[in-house]
Amino acid sequence: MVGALVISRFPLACELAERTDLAGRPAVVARGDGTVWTSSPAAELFGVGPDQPLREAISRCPELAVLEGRPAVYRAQEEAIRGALEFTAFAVEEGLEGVWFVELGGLIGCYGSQEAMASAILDCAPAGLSPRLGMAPGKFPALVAARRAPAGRFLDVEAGRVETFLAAQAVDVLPVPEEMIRRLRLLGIETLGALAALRRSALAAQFGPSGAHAWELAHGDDDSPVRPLQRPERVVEDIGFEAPLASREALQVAAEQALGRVLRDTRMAGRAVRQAVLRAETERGAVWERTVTFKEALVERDRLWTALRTVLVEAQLPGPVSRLELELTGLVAAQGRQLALPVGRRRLREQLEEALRHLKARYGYCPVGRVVEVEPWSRIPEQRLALIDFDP
Amino acid sequence: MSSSPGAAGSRAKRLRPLNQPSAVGVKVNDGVPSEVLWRGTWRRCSRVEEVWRVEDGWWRPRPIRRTYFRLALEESLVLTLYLDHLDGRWWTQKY
Repeated sequence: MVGALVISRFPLACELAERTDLAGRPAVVARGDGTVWTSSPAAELFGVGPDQPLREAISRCPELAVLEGRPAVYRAQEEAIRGALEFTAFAVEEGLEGVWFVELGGLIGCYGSQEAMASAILDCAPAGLSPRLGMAPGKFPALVAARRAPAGRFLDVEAGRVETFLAAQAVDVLPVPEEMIRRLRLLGIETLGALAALRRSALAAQFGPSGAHAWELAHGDDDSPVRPLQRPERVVEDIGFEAPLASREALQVAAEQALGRVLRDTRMAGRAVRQAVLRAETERGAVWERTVTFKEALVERDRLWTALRTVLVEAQLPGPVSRLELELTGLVAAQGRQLALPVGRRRLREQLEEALRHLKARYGYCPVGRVVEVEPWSRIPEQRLALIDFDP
Repeated sequence: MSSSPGAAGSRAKRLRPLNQPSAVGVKVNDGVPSEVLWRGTWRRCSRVEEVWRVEDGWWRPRPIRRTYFRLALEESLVLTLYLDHLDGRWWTQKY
């Protein structure tokens, strides 16, 4: 059995948990680029929907409440819910925004009853976010069941009832391209029951692999397992600023300080770093993030700082920064580096080839050539030697 | 600006010939170079050290018919030029 914990319109749910006065009213959460992120059901009645320009949304619904999106807040909330679920269940998989799958096999034994287990899972999310839980033999029917469950409650679809339960559902619930849903509707196929009544081969012929997959889902065949998130080891250091930093120089000083602190962490002893993530958050919750992947695992502070400083200098920050976070990941055992001693020809060639591979990855071709003899005996000088792209 | 006969410019062409000839200005006296425009300055030819003819690839669409001159210019400069008999132009090329 699989459980699906769903919080519909997750960013909006996070906002409405703090703005109860907007409950039931037309409201949207806006992205930084001036488009709609999520909209409330009341707003959708006016024709407002995700990805719409705000200008258009407001013209369709003049009394629309527009809330500025706060990605950092939503991400923190998601992490809190995932963390709570990982304490509650054996295996947790993060789905799309506001969706988590939980492996329920053997979990009832821990909680005594299905109700107690469902209650424990629902309690992982704040009640103000109106979480819903669906339980079914597969991920897809569990997800559909969660969407049909009342807010704060669960809906259990038993193994023998899955196909009957799904038959009444609209084809919109299928995780297939929108174009396919549109064409299904044009063909008069409105429900999963109608879809399941067709032949699999007919759907595959019409829609390709998506058609075959939709047919299987409509029959409740979804044996994809719950895949727990493999979290790589990471060391994080964050610095909060009472007065948000508008100066880039001040931000660099803070970042250098964060780097110093994170390198002093005991987990970093004898370790080198392959990747660093710099994350800056503004007062209003807007987030700027850059991931820096190093050419080789680094251990020296100076080399790490050189790479990070370059990123900060070029950063287009969304506003004064109230919090800066530095995360080091891809931790590997530090290898000694031979710097001054002479190196052999073979080692030199390896280093050269490594550098050329980086150039090729960066430019899409290798800008370095190798001279080859074509017709060294030729009487025509330009036919004797040629330059060929060096392909490491 | 100099140009090269048959010089190719695309990255897709992976094998690029080296030692391509460059066009050069030459004043001729009795069929022999007397002055060469070298780096923006006309330089007198003090001596013709060697002359040889290269004819090759007559079976190709663009055969080779050149007369090479190794010239000693003023200020001890030695230069190899050739006259392309197909287009009548002068080119400089290391031989």
